[in-house]
Amino acid sequence: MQKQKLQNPTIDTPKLETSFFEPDPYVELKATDHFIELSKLELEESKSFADAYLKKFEEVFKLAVQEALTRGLESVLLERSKIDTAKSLETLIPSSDEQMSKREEFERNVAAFKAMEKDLENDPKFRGKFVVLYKGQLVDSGTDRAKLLSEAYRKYGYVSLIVHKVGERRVMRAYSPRYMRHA
Amino acid sequence: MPNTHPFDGIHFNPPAAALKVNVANQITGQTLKDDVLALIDSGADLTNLPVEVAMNLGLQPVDFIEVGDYSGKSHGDKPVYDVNIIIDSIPFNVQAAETEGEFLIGRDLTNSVKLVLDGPKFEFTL
Repeated sequence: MQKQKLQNPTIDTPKLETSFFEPDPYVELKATDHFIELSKLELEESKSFADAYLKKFEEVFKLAVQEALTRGLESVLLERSKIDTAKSLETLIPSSDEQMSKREEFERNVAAFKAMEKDLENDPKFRGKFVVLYKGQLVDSGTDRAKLLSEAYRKYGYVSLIVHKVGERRVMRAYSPRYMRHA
Repeated sequence: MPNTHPFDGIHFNPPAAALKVNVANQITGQTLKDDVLALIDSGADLTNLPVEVAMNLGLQPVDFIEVGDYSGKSHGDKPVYDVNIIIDSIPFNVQAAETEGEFLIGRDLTNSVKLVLDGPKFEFTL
């Protein structure tokens, strides 16, 4: 099976600054004893060192966190790219457009089924059987759900489908209310 | 081989029968990188799968179901996915309904196992 091309996450990848400080002959970021001594002197004598660079430290810290998160996300994508799948690999970490498209596809199939539901129930050819809807069209029917699904995936790939039993109306109840407690 | 798990008193008050599970896409075989917390809910007709899990696994709907809450209020039609819920390394094949709420292990799964809730000991065996 072909591996699909990775999609780049639509996330800004800020670059960390390599130098914390503005060029300054007295405070240059080097891992030297001299710098450390200077910093200690500043800290001991006054708080101007921390005061002067606190904002900079905060900025750099935020960038570091963002970069770490981005690297984490990139490594997840890389890990997942090693998985071979059948056609719809774009669902790895779908963009909001893709999520919307999946949702729209699902809703289209449901709407199409509901539009033809009465006719299907009145037709002995479909009554009590499973029907398969793909892209809003009835594409197959039968009594073996697993076989219908397998056949549909073979024909169209791993895509959004409705395989629904004509005449069956299921309502799922999920109870478990949560009570908010305020301390 | 039954496994005993402690109730979860960190996320639930009072403590509840909840445990970390993994989920597998039946078609691609993809599983979650990390296990996720799921609440065993005998009040749920079906297993409820969080939408984030469905997205992470690249799940495609196979059906739809109308969802109603404890007050009888309808929350519309939700996608249903064919998944394997992996508990203690054992896969359970279910048709899970998508939810924007908690991951709930419903009676579709629990009715296939012996589940013993020991309240005084704050533990359950599956």
